[in-house]
Amino acid sequence: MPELPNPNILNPFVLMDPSVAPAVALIVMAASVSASFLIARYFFKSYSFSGFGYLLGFPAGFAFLGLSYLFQYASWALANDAVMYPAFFWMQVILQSEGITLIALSYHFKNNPGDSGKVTFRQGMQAIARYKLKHVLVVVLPVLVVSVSFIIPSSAFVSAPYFNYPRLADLSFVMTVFNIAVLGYIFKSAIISLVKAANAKLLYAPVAFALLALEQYSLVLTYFDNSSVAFAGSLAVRVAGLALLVYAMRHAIRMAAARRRDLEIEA
Amino acid sequence: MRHEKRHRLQLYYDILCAIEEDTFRNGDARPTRIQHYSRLSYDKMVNHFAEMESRGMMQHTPEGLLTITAKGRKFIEQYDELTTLIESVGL
Repeated sequence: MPELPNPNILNPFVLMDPSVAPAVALIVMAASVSASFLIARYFFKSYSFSGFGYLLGFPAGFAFLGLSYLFQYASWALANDAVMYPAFFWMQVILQSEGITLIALSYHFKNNPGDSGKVTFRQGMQAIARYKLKHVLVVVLPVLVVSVSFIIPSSAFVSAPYFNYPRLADLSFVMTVFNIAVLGYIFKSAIISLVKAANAKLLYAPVAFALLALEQYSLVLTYFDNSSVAFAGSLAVRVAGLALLVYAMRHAIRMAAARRRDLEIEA
Repeated sequence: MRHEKRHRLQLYYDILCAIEEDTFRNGDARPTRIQHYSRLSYDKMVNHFAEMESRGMMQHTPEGLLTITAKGRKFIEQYDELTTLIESVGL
């Protein structure tokens, strides 16, 4: 009888061939972390220059994503530690979902800026009072995601000193599905905004977010069949998605500089 | 036609670009022409001029003409970069 795969694999790096896993983990982590922090840095500069509140979610989200990739590597590096391995895995899952949620919030508040681009607790309450389901979800969901990340481990620590592997594996599956839904929203918002601005030539960003959604889908496949091929695919599309976003930003900055040079030459 | 309310940064940008354009076309930048290019009421424009001068982005010459400072040019570059960057990701 063939051996059934372990349904509670947390960090899929453990599925990879041990002879290549260290190099792959290190390269993918270094590429993902540097790309995420580079994006965060560029957009944080934009936020601090403009002061537009809605822009803050974008760099914060990518900084969270960068941290989540660091924790993914750390959890794999400490795969033999019964406490640190699941603890770092939990950090990775939560930070990734929160990062993606923050990026989505940037898109949401860009489309619904209100008076100042910032949404206060009072506005959230007013939205609830007006039964605007969409607004209620947008205000409540991030709060839920954040609170779940604190409630679950707290209760787990109280009930048992060690993490519950099957529960964590299930949590990661639920969060992955949540990530796919949120990335779908980001993809839709980015594409609508670019088409409205007649900027359809610059579709790099929606494609990059589609690749990040594909990464999450590959992780779902990995969850179900413990396939190292699906996991390797998820790593490849993640790095491709982040690289594409970095390319889109550098391309945009080069275009702005070239436009400026042309104007100066004309003058 | 409905005009969207412009953000203060965009107003500064529009005024500075108008000064650059007017200087390019006519050799100097006069407040009345800048008012025309930047589509502002005279009172508001004068208020913005005062703010921008206090921030060191532009200055009045003794003849009442307007010039952009190095800080103003840097602002135009940064604003250009900012808008292109956030547009590139659909924000």
